[in-house]
Amino acid sequence: MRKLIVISALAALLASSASAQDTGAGWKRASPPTQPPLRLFHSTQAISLPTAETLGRNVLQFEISHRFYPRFSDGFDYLYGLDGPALMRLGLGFSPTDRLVITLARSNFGGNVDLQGKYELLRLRSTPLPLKAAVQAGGAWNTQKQADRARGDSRNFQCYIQGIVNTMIGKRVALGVVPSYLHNSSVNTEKKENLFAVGLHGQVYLNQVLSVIAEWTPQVSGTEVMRHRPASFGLELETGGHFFKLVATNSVYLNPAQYLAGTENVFGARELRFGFLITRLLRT
Amino acid sequence: MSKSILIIAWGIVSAAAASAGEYHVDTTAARMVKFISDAPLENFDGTTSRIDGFAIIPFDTLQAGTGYDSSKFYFEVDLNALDTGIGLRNRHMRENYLETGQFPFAQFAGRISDAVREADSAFHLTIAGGMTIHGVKQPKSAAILAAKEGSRYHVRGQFPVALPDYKIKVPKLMFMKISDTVQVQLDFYLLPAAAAKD
Repeated sequence: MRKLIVISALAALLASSASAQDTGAGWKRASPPTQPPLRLFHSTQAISLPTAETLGRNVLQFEISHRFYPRFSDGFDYLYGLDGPALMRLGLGFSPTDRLVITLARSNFGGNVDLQGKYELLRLRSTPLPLKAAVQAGGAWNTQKQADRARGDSRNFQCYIQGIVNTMIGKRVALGVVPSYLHNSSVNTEKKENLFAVGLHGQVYLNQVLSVIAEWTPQVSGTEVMRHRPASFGLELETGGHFFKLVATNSVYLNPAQYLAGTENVFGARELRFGFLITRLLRT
Repeated sequence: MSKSILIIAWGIVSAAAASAGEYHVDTTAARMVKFISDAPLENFDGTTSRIDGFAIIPFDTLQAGTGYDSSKFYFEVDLNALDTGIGLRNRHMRENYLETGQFPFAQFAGRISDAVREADSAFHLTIAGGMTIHGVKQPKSAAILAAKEGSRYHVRGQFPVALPDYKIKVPKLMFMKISDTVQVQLDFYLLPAAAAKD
């Protein structure tokens, strides 16, 4: 009997000891830590050119942009370019999925109503150059009434498609290439012309809030609509749900079917104009 | 000899049966952790289902009283999974404030201080220990409710977390306001460890 008690006590001690060591040793993390989504650019667009970024599922983005006609060089009489008039664009984007953004926007130049979709095709966390690719396609209807044609005349419609490839060097420098094809590049001509342009843009993130941004959209083939190539540079400020972009540019055009066609202004200090873009993200 | 082995085996089984009850977070059931920021002009919350961990109590099941000196718990929340509903805000939370690249988990470890019976099989528990967020550990106690549902405990609770205590910068930028103190809500199930392993 004594032997039985000793053995039981020993067994209980062993079990107790095993239990004391078992301070959650039986627990293992059920799944590995979450990897945050790959983000290269922070915003869905550079200045006018698109980035491969989307909004996230069920997020709305409201946008308002201005490009002022007077130049900085017009001086005091035009409040250094702030007097206006200005072209403006109002837009509303929505992401039904993580990879798709649908945006409806209107520019007051020609009453250009633009409906576009952007779909993120590829995310690669490759090192040293991570990669994201997307495609954006859209159609524009120039709704402003003209004497020689009805509003619904086919010459008032344009369409475009843009490939978007983004990468990042280190943690601060993001680069993008946007080959773009535009059909009916000049709505004012009888014949429908096409053009091909390659947008290039880059952004240097200085800190958590501020970055420097620049873009250039040279036309590489097709009928020349305007002689000069749009180029812009400026600052981007980001907060929890907003982007503020303050830019200097030689182009006043805002919607894709318009800025892709070029600009009448040379890129130089005398021809630079002020523009801004504000976006606000809204949770639905 | 074989009799001795049987006796030892019986001893181990009976001793183990009388020892601590180990419970793991049921990762197959609904789980929710919500951080609620209630700042002037802007309220928002961040939610995730990614809570995991375990609790060990000195009894098979919870009992009223204070005999929980040998109890132990550890819970962790995967902060990279926190979703505020806006991707940009998620990224700001991760990169600028929580710095989840360095500190991917919020952790709460300690023991049960006491249990007060709320109903037949539901207990108000006071849990105390250390909470680690953003790499900073602070003493923390909280009240939670654990209600038995079948073999599991349904755990719910809410407690405040003062962000400056964890050296988290509280953004005061226009349009990005977070209150100094966020409310943390927990809702998850604890499953007996043996069942969790199945």
